[in-house]
This record gives sequence, structure tokens and C-alpha cells, in this order.
Amino acid sequence: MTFDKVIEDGRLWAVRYNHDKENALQKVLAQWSDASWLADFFTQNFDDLISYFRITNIEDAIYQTMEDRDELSCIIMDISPDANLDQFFRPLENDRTQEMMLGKEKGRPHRRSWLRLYAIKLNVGVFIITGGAIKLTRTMQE
Amino acid sequence: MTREEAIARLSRYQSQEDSAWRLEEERLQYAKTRGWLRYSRRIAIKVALAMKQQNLSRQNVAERMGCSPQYVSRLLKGEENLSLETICKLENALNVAILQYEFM
Repeated sequence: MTFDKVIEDGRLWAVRYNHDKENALQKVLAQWSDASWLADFFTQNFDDLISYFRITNIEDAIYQTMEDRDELSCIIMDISPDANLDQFFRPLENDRTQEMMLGKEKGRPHRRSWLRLYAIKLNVGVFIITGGAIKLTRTMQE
Repeated sequence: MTREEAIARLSRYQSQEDSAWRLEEERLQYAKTRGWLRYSRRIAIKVALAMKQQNLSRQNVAERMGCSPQYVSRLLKGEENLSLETICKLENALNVAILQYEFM
């Protein structure tokens, strides 16, 4: 396992597992821009898409995912040296794991993105991205 | 452990090869400013769903189009500036209408 620096000042990294060509961040960004992968995902999880987000059109769900993926990537690319990463990542149930999600979209205050990036927070303000997910349910247990 | 110590420790385990993720993302964002990316994405989605419906692999589509499976993979990422010829090949390969037009 090795680590790739995501921002130049070394506060944000992404894990690269077992001689993979891509790190965890690149992998999820690639998945979230792959129409075929997304088609499979939303087809398999169609019931959750309808019940929580009230979206019945898979094409729209795929397109929105791609758009949200771009927005997430831009946010990360634009992280400034002064930015407090605690504002981007919020804690999950335990103290170490954090998740990053897009805020409420402008102009569409009732829809939040289902994209999640997960990172481990070292206790000195350094984060390591370990993966991501599309979260279609209210809780992870669902 | 201070932040600097944490960063130094992670740097010891830094990947030998640069991931180049930022370059890839900048290229994508540039393509997005060109406007055609949203069309490419919509087409990729239509193609992916048609493939799924017809149970076609990338290999199957590639054979029908006369291209490589790798090209089909790239096309499915919605980042290709597709030619009209390629779009026609897709329409024929998948028997779907991708472009709708008013002239003719």
C-alpha cells in the first residue's frame, strides 16, 4: 500500500492499494464517470433510487452523478492552503473515519448529492482518502 | 505527532509513480468548457443502457462498429468528442436512435 498526494501541501492524500495503477480517489472518480458502471449500479439499486430520492429515470440519475462527480473533483482541485479540511469532511460514527459530501445544490435546495468520499483523519488535520460510495439510503445500514 | 511529522511519514510511503490525477481532471474540466461534453455524456448513457438491455458486451459492440473494445470503453466514459460517423455506427450497432434531427 502506498499513498498519493492529492493536494500539494500534504494535508490530503489518497491510498493506492496493492500496486494498483490508480489510487482510491481516481478509482471512484472513474467509476462515477463510467456510464456502463453507473447503468449497472442504478439498475441494481433502482428501488432505493425511487424510495429515497423519488427518481424514476435512470438516465437522469446517471447524468446527475456525472455532474456531481465533476463538482466534487473541482472542489478538491480548488482546495486552498488556507482551507480547513474539517469543513469538507464530516465525522461518521467513529472518530477516525470521515465522509465528504457535496452541500445542497444551489437553486435545488431540496436535493443533496448521493456521492460520498471517505477518508481517515489523522489527528493533526491530515486526511487520507480511502474510497467512496453512492449512498442512496438514509443510513449505511439500510 | 505533529502535522509535519504525519506528512513526512506519509511521504516515506508515497507511490513511486505520480498518479497524475490532477492533469486528468484538468483535461476533463477543459473538455467541459467546450460544451460538447454534455452531449458525449448523454450519448454514453444511451449507449450503456442499450447495451444492458440487449445484453451486449463491449467486445460485441466493438465488432459491430469495427473498432476496438478499448475505444468502446472510452466512449462509455462520455469524454469523447464523437464524430457524426461514429454516432451513426453506434446507432446501427445498437439499433437505437441517438440523434434526432429536423432537417432531411
